[in-house]
Amino acid sequence: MFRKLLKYDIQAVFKYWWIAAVITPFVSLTAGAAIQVINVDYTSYGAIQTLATFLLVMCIFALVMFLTVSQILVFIRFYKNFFSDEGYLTFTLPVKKTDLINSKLLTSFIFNIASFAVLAVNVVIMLVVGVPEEFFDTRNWKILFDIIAELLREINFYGFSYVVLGILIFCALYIMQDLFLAVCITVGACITRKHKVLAAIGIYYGANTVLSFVIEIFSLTGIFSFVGMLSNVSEGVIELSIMLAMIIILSLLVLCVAGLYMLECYMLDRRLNLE
Amino acid sequence: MSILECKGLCKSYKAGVPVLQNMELSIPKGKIVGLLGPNGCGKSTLIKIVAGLLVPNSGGVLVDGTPIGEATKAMVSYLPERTYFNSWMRVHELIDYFADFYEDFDAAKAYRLLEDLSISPGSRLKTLSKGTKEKVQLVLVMSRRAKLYLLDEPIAGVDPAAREYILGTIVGNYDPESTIIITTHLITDVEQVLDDFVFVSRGGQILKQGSVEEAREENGCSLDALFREVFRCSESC
Repeated sequence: MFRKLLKYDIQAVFKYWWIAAVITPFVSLTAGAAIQVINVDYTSYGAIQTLATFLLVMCIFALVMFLTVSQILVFIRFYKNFFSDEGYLTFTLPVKKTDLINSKLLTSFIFNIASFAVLAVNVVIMLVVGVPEEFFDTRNWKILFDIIAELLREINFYGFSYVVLGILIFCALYIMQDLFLAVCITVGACITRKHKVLAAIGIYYGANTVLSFVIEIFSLTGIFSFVGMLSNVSEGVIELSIMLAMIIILSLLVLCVAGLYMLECYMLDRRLNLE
Repeated sequence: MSILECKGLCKSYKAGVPVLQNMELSIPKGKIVGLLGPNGCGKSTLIKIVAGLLVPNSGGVLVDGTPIGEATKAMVSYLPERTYFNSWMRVHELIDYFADFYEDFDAAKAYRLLEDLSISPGSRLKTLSKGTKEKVQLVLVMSRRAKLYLLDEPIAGVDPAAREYILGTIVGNYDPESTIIITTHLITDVEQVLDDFVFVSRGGQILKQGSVEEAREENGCSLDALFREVFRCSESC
C-alpha cells in the first residue's frame, strides 16, 4: 500500500512541479546572457550592465525560489490530501497512518533531490552560456579535479567521519524541518474547525520563534564552552571532541525527529477531526 | 450477528456539548437500514466515527467484531455528503485509484454503471457538474463488494429523477450479504428501499428501532408519518 500511496503523492506533486522545472532553463539562459553582458567591457554602457546585473540577481533569486516552490507544492499536497475534503477519501483508505505520513515525507525528499538536480543542471546552463570559454577550458577542470584528488588523498579517519556525520546531520535536519511543518499543519487542522491554514501558519511561526530562541541560547552556550574546553588540549583530542560534538548534535536531532513523528502519528490517530 | 456495534459511544466537538452521549446501537447484517433523525442528532457524526474520520471521546465501535482501524476500512464503503475527489483526476484515474486501494473494488462494474449514466471515463472531474460528481462518487462506492456501506445523505440536493436513479443503483447493486446504512431526511423517498430503521434523537439516543414493515403494520402509517409523530413528541417533550 505504501508504494501505491507514494505513486499517487508523486503524481499529484509532479503535475505542477514539472511546469516550474521546465521554466527554469529559460531563467538560466537569461542569467547566462546577463553574465555575458556584464563581462563585456562596455564602459560607456553602464546602464545596460546595471540592468544585466539586476536581471542576473533576479534570475538567481528565481532559481532559489524554485526550491521553495517544490517544498510549497509538497505541503499543499499534504494539507489538501489530509485536511480538505480529499481527507474523506484519504482517511477511509485501508492503509496505516504511518504509511500516509511516510509517503508524504518521502515525496518531499524525492522532490527536493529532483529540485537540487534541476538546479545543478541550471547552474551548468548558466555557466555554458555566461562564461563558455572558462567552462570549456580543460585547465580549469584539471584544477578542480586536482583539488578533489588532493582532498581525497589527505582525508583521514576524522575527516571521513566529519563528512559522514555532516551528511547525517543534514538529513536529520531536513527530516526534522519537514516533520515540523507537517506537525504544525496537523495541529492547526485538528484544533480548529475553521481557518485551518491560518492556524497552521500561526503555530509554525509561534513554535519556530520559541525554538529558534532556545536553540540560539543553547548553541551560543555550547560553542563558548566547547571553544573554552578545547583551548588547552592536543590536536588529537580536538578532533575527537569535534566528532563527539557532532554525534551529540545528531543524537539530539534524531530524538527531535522521533518526537515529532510520534506527535504527528498521535494527532492523526487520536485527534483527527474531519467534520 | 451484528455488523455494527456501538457501546457507550460519546463524542463532542466542544467540551460540554455532546453530540453522542452513551450511544448504544446494534445493526444486523444483510439489511438496508435507515438512520433517521432531526438535524444535529449525530447521524453523520456516527457515520464518520464508523468510517474512521472521527475519533470518539469514549466508548467503542465494532464493525463485524473488529475495532475501527485499517481492517474495518477495508470492509466499509463510505459515501460522504460532500465530494472528496482530486479535481485534476480523470474518472478512469479514480477507478484505478479505487482498484489500487480496495481489493473488493469491481472496476468492470464501475465502468458499466458509468456507461449507464453516460459519463465518459475520460472526463476530468473539474469539468463535471456537482450532480455528476456525486453520481461518479456513488458509482465508485457501490462498485465495491463491501460488508458495510455507509451512505450519508446520498439523495440530498439532487432532483427527484436523480434520486430515483441513485436509490435504484443502491438497491440494484446491493449484495444481500452486505448491510447498507443510509442517513437522510427524505424519508418518503427512501422508505421503499429500507428493511429496518433507527430513529435517533439528540445526543444520539435511540428512540425506536426495528423493521419498517412491522412498524407500518403496528402503527398503520408510513415510516415518514411515524417519524413526524415520534419527533413531534420528542421535540416538544
